[in-house]
Amino acid sequence: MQLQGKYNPVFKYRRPSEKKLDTIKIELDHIYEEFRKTHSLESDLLPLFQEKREELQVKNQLLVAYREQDFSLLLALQEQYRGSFLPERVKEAQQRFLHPVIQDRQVLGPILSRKKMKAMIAKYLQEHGRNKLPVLFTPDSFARMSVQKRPPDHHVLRVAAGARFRKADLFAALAHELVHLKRYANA
Amino acid sequence: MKRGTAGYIIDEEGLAITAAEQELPESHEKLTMRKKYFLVGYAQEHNFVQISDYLRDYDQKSLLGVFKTAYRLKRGIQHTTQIVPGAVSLQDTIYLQGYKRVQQWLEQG
Repeated sequence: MQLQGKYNPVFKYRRPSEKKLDTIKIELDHIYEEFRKTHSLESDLLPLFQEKREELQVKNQLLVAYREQDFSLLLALQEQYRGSFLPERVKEAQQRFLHPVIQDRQVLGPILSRKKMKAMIAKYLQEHGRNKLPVLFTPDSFARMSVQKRPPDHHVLRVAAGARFRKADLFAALAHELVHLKRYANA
Repeated sequence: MKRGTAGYIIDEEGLAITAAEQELPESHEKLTMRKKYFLVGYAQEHNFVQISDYLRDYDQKSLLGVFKTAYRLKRGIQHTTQIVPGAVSLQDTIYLQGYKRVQQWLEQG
């Protein structure tokens, strides 16, 4: 089915000013210099900081490229930040998902009602020692489920209000999000 | 550093998918990460409307679902008529990358 309106939307974004991005760049250089002065070159932490500084610089440059809508630079910087994009992997991925063995979704269990979902999420979180994690059903979530940080140091499990889950599917999503939560906690 | 070391997100997503996979029956293959990777490639060669049409045809998503997915692929791009490799977000490629990396580690013991 074709959409009736052939409308390619135009989005407006609020980007940091050039001055702000320059300030961040100077600050990053300064932080690294300070760190280098206080740690010997043999320190195991030095390469970690070096990598992190480079990553933050790439992120800073990405913001500039987004502001300028410089597409060739955007591709190069995104590949630096998120890893190389491999066209051969697209073909491989396409073959796997367009021609999969027909998957019987019934093996995942029945589609759950909101009430059932709430009860199962609460039980799962309790079993994994996360019973204090607030759960928020929200219509404005782009992901089916995600963990979001709330200042100063809290987290919330967001579930898209319209998302449909089957039993195993729900547990898989919860297992996925708890990995992120553990990393937040470790940090 | 509190937000993670450089490049942590790829490994973290790989670990998260691997953990999620353990909750699924063995007979059920997780295809979402492959679909996401494919769609990034598709979005490099198509504009917003074309991506939306494809999603409607293939995925039979709701209009809201179509918009969210198309927007995610074109996130950060002002004029979504642009059809060049850089006019697309590579965010959705990290899942398959991370998964492959974790599988490789596991295979190597």
